[in-house]
Amino acid sequence: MHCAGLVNLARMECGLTPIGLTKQYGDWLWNEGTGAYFDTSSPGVPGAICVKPWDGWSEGHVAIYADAHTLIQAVLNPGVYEGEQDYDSYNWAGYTTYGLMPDVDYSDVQGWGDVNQEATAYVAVDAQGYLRLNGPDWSGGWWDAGWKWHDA
Amino acid sequence: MAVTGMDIVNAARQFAGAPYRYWTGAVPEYGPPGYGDWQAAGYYTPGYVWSEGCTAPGW
Repeated sequence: MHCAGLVNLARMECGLTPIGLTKQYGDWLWNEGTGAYFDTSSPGVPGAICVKPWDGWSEGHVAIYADAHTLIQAVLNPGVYEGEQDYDSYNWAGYTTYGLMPDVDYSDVQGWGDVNQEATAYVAVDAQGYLRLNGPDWSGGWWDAGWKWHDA
Repeated sequence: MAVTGMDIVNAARQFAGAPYRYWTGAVPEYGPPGYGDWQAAGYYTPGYVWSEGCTAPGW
């Protein structure tokens, strides 16, 4: 399935109507007043979405937040998977919009990002040599919360 | 009962591992079981059938 197909199917699993493709998701959030400009530094809440609407020229994308920064999404390779961080995904997807779906109840997770800040469990060094807090790629080694160095 | 954000996440997780397919230009259609059985529906939950394009039976 493609990116918007995953969101459509997840909604249908929950008894909600599919919204359409990336443009429809983006328009929907803004029209309903739940859309916001995407900001990599703002934590998301589970079940929220981030969108780059198809604009007629460049490919769009839409993904679902599983926690403050982790996305579940359908991409060309490897397909549907959970794990990419929104700030990494932004580098290729170019999200413009973040938002809560208007017909979903987020009352149990409202403020989730504010009260569930990611604790620094470790600092990873990724393949490019960048430091990543709790990063998924520690191929360059990592420090644990006791600040002890580990080779990858 | 209202659908919660975690309901959406858990529903999406059921599809983890499904392969990517390009959107082919057709408006997705959804129908009852049996509709469009000629499509590869293996990754979709029972009750939903996904039309990925303009492929016709027998192609």
